[in-house]
Amino acid sequence: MRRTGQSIPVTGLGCLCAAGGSVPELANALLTGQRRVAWREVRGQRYPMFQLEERAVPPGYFEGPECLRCGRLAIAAAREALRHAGLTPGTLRDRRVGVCLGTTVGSAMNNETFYRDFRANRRPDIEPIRQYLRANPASMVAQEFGLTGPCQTITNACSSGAAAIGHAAGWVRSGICDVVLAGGADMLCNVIHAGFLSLLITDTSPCRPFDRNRRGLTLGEGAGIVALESELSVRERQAQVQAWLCGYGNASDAYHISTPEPNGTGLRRAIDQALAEAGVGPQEIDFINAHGTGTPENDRVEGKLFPEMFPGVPFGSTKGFTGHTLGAAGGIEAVITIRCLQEKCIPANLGFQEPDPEFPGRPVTENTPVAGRWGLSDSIAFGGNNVALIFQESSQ
Amino acid sequence: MGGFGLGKQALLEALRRGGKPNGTVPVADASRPRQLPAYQVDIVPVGRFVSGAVSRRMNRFAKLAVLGAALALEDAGWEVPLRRNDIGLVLASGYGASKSTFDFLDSMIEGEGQYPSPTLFSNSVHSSAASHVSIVMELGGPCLTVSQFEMSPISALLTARDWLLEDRVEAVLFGAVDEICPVLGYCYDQFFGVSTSGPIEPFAWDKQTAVMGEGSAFLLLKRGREGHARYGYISEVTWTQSRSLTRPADRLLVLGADGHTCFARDYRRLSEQAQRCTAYTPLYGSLPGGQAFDVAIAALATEREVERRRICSVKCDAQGNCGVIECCFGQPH
Repeated sequence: MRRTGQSIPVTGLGCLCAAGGSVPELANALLTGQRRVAWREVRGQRYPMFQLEERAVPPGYFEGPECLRCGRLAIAAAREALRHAGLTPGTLRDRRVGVCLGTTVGSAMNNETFYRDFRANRRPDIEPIRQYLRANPASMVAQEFGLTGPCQTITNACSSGAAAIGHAAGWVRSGICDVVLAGGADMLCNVIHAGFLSLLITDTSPCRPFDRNRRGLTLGEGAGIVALESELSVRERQAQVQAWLCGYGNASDAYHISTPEPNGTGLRRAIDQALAEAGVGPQEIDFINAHGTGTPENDRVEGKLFPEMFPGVPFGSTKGFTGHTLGAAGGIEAVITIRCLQEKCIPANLGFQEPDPEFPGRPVTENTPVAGRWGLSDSIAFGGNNVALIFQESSQ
Repeated sequence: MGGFGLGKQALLEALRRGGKPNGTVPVADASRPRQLPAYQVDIVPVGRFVSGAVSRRMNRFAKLAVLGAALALEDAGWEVPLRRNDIGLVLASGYGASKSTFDFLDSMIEGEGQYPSPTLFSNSVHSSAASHVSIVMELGGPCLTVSQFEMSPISALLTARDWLLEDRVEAVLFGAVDEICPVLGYCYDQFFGVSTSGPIEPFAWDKQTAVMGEGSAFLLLKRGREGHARYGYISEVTWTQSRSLTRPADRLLVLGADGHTCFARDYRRLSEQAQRCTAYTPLYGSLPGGQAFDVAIAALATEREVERRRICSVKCDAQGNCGVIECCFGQPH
């Protein structure tokens, strides 16, 4: 199957999550091994959460309706990405700018208060519904910055943010956009937490990706957005390229509604597609930012596959810093992957202490220098969608 | 499939005789219980394509998707399951698996102190329907679920088009799915009151006449390289702003006007510019994914050579965005 393989410049990065309210703060946290864990009690049991520090939340975040928070996170990350890219309101007006974001919570109407009143026939006010209809994260970003290009909110569960970046590149490649703000945003949510508790895949300790004693994921919140831009626009603005998005793969397990296919065949296909598009072989990949949620099944898949496909290539999960941010994960981890390329270093896989004898893969346990030319980031979604992104360092 | 029935023949029959709501949704109000008209789907026929054991694990939203996808593949002469990795799946939904979301909330609320239902949670994720389709059809290719309210189909179709143009896949199974649930009925009642009794009057610009609809519409898309396409070609997929949209006068304009006055201004302007325009929403109801039904109807018109000129489907949202999908009989140059 022929692929076009045109690499797309990344000119801006924006991110906020538990590890930091900006990309520099995030990068510092990764470098210094700092993480901030909050705790929440549910039915007498304490559960860790990776929630934003209060000083990092956007203005009006807690004052406004809860359903708008994903959009506010996205706007904050988009603002940083635009500033980083040097894309001013004036330059945006002259360009066709699209928004492509992934989310899980941001598209769900799960207002508990409203629904309790509805169930009890208390005929609740309809304002929460009006708010929900205004809360689409991609639309909120578009409206905030006056963007009139295509808008897409991808709801692919945990691969949403990565898929959004891959698809956004297609918009630039096909010429329908000059710039696309792409990534993901998600917030901590009582309902979603209850859902993961019901699946018995949450840990009562902060997540331990790839560790023998891992018990599950730890939820997080945040947003990670990259500005993808056409080469023509980059040349016109003489913009600085942060990295190149060279490869994107998307493949399905077609196996189970919530458990990954144990042999990782879907993930392998996605990675192979991304490698083919980037025109590189596995031996050229310098490091892998793993999905690494800390669930037994997910980490087993990656722990088996990575050593097989990429022998000797260092890998690690950064969810020990950020938590599992669901639809935002792919976006945040794309930002992290690019920063790792720039720093030529990948952070330690926090939470890993004891190898799991069920698979040969061992993540890095300390900050590890890498050549920093090619980085791969993968995301594995609930329901079996797998996405792989390959970034190349920028020589600028 | 929709309130008109199941499959292509049912849609053709509805085009001949007209459409109307075929069911009702109760509005929870102890003081004044009432029913609102709705276009509803009978999903029992999903049993033709999946076993009872498999369908028991699916929610209604997923069954709508699986049945729609299966009917499209059957019409194409493809045997299910496909067992292919080179077919993409793009699913558009305005509200997602809303009923399952509320069912999960029910299990949370009712089971205070106990764990809520993990199955309901798994199925409440918007992408659950696409996951079920990929599992049943054994599709290992790229998969995407898009949720952008009224712009869901156009946004999803942009992706489907890109996948084909970039040779990522040999074909794309593109579909839109939306379902009715009691909360939606309550919202219609609260927002619109008695005006929701129907019928839909797409061109009564100052009247709120929308009637809830549900259903799914799927198309199997391929690259238009050679030979004759049975259902014609999609020659344009554009996301634009309603205020600046103009169309050549010779197009048959199919407006997504579905009786909601909040979208009427832009549809009215377009209808006044067009030589010929129509709206098919009275056949399937008001639902965010409705544009996919309009494209399916355009495809049927092409198959039957009823319309040899270009058919242009237009869907607008309340933010001034507009999705344009143009279909044509012969291969576009």
